[in-house]
Amino acid sequence: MTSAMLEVSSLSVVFPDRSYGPRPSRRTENSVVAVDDVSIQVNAREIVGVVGESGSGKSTLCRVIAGLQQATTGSLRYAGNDLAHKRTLADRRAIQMIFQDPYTSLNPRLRIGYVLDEALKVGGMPKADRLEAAKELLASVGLPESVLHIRPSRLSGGQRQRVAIARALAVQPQVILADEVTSALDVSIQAVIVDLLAKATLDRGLTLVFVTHNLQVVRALCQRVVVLHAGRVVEAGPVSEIFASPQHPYTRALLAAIPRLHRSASLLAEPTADESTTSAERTALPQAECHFRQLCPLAHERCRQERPALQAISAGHEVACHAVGQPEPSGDTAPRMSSSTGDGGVPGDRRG
Amino acid sequence: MSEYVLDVRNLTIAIERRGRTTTVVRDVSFAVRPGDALGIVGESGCGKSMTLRALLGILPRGARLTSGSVWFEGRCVVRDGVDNGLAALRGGGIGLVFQDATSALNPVMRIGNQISEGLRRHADVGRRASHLAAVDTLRSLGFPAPERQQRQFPHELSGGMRQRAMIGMTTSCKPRVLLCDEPTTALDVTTQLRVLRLIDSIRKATGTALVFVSHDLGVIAEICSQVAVMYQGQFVERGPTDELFATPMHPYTHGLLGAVPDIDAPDPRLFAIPGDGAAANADISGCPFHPRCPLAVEACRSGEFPLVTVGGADRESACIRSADVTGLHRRRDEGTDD
Repeated sequence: MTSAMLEVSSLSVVFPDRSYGPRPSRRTENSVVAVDDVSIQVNAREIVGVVGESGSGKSTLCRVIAGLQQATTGSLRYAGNDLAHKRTLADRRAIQMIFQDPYTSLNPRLRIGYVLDEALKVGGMPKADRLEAAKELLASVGLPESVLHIRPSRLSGGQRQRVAIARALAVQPQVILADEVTSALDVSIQAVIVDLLAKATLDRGLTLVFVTHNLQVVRALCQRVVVLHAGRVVEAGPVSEIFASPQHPYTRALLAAIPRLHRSASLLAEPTADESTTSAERTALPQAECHFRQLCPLAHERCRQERPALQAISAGHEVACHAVGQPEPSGDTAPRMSSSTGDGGVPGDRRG
Repeated sequence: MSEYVLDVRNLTIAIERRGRTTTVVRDVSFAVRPGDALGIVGESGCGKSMTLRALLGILPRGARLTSGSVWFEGRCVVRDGVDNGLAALRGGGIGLVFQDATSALNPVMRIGNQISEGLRRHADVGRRASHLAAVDTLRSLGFPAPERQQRQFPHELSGGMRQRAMIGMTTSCKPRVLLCDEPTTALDVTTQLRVLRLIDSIRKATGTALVFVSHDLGVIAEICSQVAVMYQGQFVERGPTDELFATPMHPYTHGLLGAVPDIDAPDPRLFAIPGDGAAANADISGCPFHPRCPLAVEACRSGEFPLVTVGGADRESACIRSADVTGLHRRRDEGTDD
């Protein structure tokens, strides 16, 4: 489609096994497939959430889009331009990333004024206008002008993240990649930063890719969500639909694991599921199977032999699961869910 | 009272820096019985970690107890701010699970040794027996191959496993009071759930009293029956967890609940608390929350605001307008409170 702002197709990132020395080994059994054949489309002015556990490849995906990491295979297009091999200066300016940790993403020795000035200079603004522009940027993220003259050490985590947002906005980007930008912050500050990002995106007509493991924030901020597990997209669709009726067993487990303020029965009373597979243990997984198989209450023979493909189950809602879309079983094979998450037609058939 | 395993009264902690004294924990009192689970919620910098550290006698440099007393199993271990034997309780009597297992574990020591060391020190167990006990501990924590894994170093384990290993280190000594300082903050939701279940099952099995500090209200709601809300070093509200989260009686609690709505709530929006908690400081007179409070009146600007009983018998709030907090709900629902 030409209307897509960002188009990721069949993108894979493989980290080679370096346990035998600095040069990548030809052995492949220990290499890690961090992103595994991922295709995502992000339309202009859309806010898309990318969720998954640590090790699911969400940060790697973000880094590839930002150009900080080379893709092994697959293609990446921004507004129709192929970015996988060559990125023009304009492309690089158009895609900006905000990092998770505001304590390490700002140079401790540089005053905030210098940080913003540098970004504006890279953005091609003449020197005479830069001070004014820096003040405007600070105002737009809710910081006073006096911040120009101080170093990051005097700012709180939330204030630093505001500076990081201002810096990303300085080059007038089209796409903002936010990689876990609120996870180092307190809950009350998190709400402020989410608000700010939403406002900055809407006011400037930007596209936002919001990477997080926090589903509450996705629900509050995003229009569409992509769920990653073990480097693969397992489910993607409109936020309202996925939260109301999650289809993939992994999405359901993720939603069910969120601690709730008000619930009748305690989450802790239920039996403990096994820990999910993360990148550390993912080296030896065969490609031709479903990686959620071992933790999946719906797993059957086919899941071991064939990787489930993403298939649309309704407009814009895609799921990669062999058990979805199969005839309706009696219902006792459904994974446990919170009573109020709603279960719009529990799919699942042990035989497929 | 001797039925309490840990009784903390009027604990006050001050930090001295460059000749200036700042009170970071003010007049905090709580008590737990065996098997109790008390949660303490608050933002970073509110003094919740400081409180836990004071109970172990491991306050950072510059910080000291200025007043207050602590009773442990009927014995006074801190009197009027003077440490009277906390060190002897550390590990065996009171155990602490830290937030960041990566930095709390010794990176050059095998995890089996880190667990058995505590046992030898506190439980008077021999070398061989302590190693076997360490393996048993790991097995009970859900490690799939404890004999092999007890020989691993912390960097060889995943984040969730490290956190579990640290919980094992603390709980293998069977402390009567288990303090947890944000033990799941760095973990994914699914791993977090596993760790919470583990802590909960240990509490139920051993009857240890749990004091659980977190900024995540959902986590507290799952694991604690009682909760205290801390703001700027003071308890501002306390009560049974379900009731307190259903009908908060302090505007700060109300604000916190708005900032992290339930994933099932009909309205997904996050409401920020106006103002900056980190910028405010302890020099404010009167109620510490009044500069950010939507209900603040003239009377909030001076005086003391201790917890007083409000509404039900178990509910305490430090707010003089606690009856009006319910009105804030209505305002938010109508969309005027933004």
